[in-house]
Amino acid sequence: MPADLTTVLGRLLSDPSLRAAWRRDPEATARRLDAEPGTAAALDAADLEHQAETLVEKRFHEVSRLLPRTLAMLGGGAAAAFREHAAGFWPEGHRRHAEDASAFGRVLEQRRLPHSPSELHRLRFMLAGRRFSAAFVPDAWVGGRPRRALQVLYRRRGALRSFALYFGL
Amino acid sequence: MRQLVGVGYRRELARWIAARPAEIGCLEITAEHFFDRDLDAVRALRRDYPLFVHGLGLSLGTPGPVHRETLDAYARVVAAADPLFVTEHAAFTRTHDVDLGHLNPVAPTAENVRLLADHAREVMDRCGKPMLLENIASHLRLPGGMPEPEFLNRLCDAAGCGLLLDVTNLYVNSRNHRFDPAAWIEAIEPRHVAQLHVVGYSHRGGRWHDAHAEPIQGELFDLTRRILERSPVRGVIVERDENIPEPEELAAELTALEAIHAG
Repeated sequence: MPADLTTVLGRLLSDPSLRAAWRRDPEATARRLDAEPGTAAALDAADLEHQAETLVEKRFHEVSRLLPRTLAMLGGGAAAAFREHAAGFWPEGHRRHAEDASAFGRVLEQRRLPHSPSELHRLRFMLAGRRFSAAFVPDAWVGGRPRRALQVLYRRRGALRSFALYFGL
Repeated sequence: MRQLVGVGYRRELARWIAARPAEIGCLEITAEHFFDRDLDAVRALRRDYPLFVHGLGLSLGTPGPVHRETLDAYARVVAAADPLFVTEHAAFTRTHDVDLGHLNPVAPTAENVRLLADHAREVMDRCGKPMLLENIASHLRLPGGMPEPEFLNRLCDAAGCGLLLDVTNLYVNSRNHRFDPAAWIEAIEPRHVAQLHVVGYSHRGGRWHDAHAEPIQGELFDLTRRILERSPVRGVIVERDENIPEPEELAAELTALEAIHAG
């Protein structure tokens, strides 16, 4: 039984290499996806690309709300770095934006690209649902500027609270 | 029945909303925003405003059963909110392979009318509330042989639900796919339209977008007026997510919408 159009779209929209193949040869790619007859002629490659772009832009936008300092540190390279990450990672469920931001942060850490460790610590604390977490970070916000400090995060009555212990190092 | 004009609840607007300004007649809450939160916050909003509960992730257009965990969480928010309507999109966000996280179109076929209607009825049965389905903005036009208004009319009839007509999505699609939005509105069965979404559109890269980031433009007010003249709309929601302005600016938009309704 051929794959339904929704399933085919999901594969195409989530995989840039499949879309590139679709642009080159829609008929062959449709067969590879086990799509119903007529799908290749019905799906416009440019529209498909715009829709896929929009999905990644929306993800990027959500992540930029969660990691504003990291995105500012990445500057003009932020969108390209995110696009590369987004092509191979699709988070699931209602926490997907936070999962996405955390995974993007992991990529930046691994590649030693600019990021805010204090921001990532805070994000992962929220995601994990822990009651308490402490970490040494180089950029805790103390006295209106980033400083090396022990960043302490905890929950009180459901709300996230934080303080930083700064040793003047 | 009085028509209600209000905003989508966003954290940035919480202080203004809590002050109960006269311009806000109702609130729409996004169910997913409350999945991990204490539902007392929802109950507090319910005490101050009539609510609508809006879904983003039920993915009613996905073949197979409705995602159980998401429906359970959605139903818990609905129970706390006791809304006038529950709403979702005539779209899919997820397949069996991947969660795309945002809205994508389903082909306008009789099979998808049945699928969406079955899923909508399941949500209504579970939540015990009437449901509205929303038209989405999409860069894709899919084959199926049915114009979108006919698809939505048939869907509303089959599911026994109403339409949440997103004026901005309609306008954005009409520009990107070159059709007349007024004719689209004429083709929609007036009695189906029970709620409206509206927010300014964006234009970049030669395409129109529903970025939810701009003030409402004149063309959108005109389309809103056209719909309100022919349909028994119960609620109009300004759906601003980005570049959230000062409350005075949003209040002015709500006042303008209220004035359109008053004629």
